[in-house]
Amino acid sequence: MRYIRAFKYLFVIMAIGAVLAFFESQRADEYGHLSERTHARSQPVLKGGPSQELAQVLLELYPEGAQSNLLMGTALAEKGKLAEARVHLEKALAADRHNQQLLFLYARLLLDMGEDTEKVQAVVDELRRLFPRTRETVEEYFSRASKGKLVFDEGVY
Amino acid sequence: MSQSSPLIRSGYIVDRRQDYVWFLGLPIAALAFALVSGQYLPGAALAAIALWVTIPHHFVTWLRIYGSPGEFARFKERFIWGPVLLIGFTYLLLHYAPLSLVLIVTLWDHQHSLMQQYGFSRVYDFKAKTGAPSTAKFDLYFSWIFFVNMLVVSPLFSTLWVRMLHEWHLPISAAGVQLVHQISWVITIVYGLVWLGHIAWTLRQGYALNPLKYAFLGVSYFLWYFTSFTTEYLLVYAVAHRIMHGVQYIVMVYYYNRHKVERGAGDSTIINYLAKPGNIKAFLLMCAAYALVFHALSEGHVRDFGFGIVGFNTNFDLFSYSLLSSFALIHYYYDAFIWKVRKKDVQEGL
Repeated sequence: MRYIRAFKYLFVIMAIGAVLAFFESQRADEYGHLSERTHARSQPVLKGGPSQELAQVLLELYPEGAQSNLLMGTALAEKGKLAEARVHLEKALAADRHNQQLLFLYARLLLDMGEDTEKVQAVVDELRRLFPRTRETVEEYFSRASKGKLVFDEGVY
Repeated sequence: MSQSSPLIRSGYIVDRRQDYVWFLGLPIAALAFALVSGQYLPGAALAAIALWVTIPHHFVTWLRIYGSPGEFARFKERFIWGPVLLIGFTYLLLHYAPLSLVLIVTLWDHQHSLMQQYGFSRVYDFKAKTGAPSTAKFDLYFSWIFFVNMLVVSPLFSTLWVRMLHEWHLPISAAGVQLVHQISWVITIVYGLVWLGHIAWTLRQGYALNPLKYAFLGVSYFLWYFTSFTTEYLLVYAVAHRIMHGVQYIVMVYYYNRHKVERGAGDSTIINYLAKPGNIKAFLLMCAAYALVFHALSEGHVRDFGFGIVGFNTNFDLFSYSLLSSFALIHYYYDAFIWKVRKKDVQEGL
């Protein structure tokens, strides 16, 4: 009894956690609206239709917001609507230029749309400067994606 | 409270100078620093600033509890079994239900943050012997309502909770969100008026007020509201909030230990040593050393010291990552019961 009294607050938290965990797994199985985790440290995210629905709600609330435009830009890019996606991604960039996912997606989109190498390079360099931890992966990816047109050296910084 | 008491009476958490620096000036400085660094520093640097404050502020909790036999004896079972249960709980959630873990850590973190500022406001009233008996309750409701309103209506946090609802497959429409915003504002404004009315009633009843408490609450809520309404960059909020929350906590624990030692209530060699005014550098160095060790553990760098045996599997990666959340949860858990201003042994350190 003494232990139950001592830990009652903690047990309540753990019971809430257990209920939430049950609810989470049940909903993920039932609706399949979340992507698989790619790494132990990553989180599942919304995919497909549900992601676009969320983007639509956020756009109605915050038409100039970074998150809302990023989500809509991502959803449109996944559907191959690159020109429409670009409009949203540029709006998102106007609100926040510190988002890694946003800069990455925008650089990739410019590359896919056949934009000038200098234009793509400027965005990738911004990505490299702001997120040094993933610099090598980014360089490797864009070097491959641009078939060697994008060249990275140490002098940028 | 006698009718002859002056109605405005100042009392400080530490002293006049320290309070102006750490409790009233720091939130404004932290806000300015976060806004400027959000413009010019990379995200990795902002995250590092937040971590360099957050991790040491956990450490001072461990120091207060595990460094003092008296403190440890107060809730021995919880201090032994609490970490074991919470590390296991976090690991399991991270493995099987990551969204649930995010939700629990986020909500508990917010509750913990608002309760810290509420706790400091109680210390202001305790030190100045101000406020009516009902003030604690009115201030508690104020803290909850104003903080939750900030979470509900600000663009920064609205985006997050709407996203979370969709991730839980509980979608909400834009009209639904706007309705929630309106209800939240109405509750907040009405309660704000009730709270002001209670302050006026307190004065009419002859109870004194501590202006420092209201200035402290004012700058704290200004920091939270300003960052969450003017930026969409979560790290700007994180840096401003973490500096205010973490540094104020470290200052509080440092002076708490020092007061206990000065009043002869200290029972620990290490705390007696660190609480001496000349040893503040040693105190800060220990905080920094702990942050480095924690970073090596939580980021998995410890595998580099594992002779190729320890740390080379997915479970280790998951475990090391779960330390970030579990140590935060242990800190929230302990803080929920070690800082009761009404308790005599806590008052000894205030």
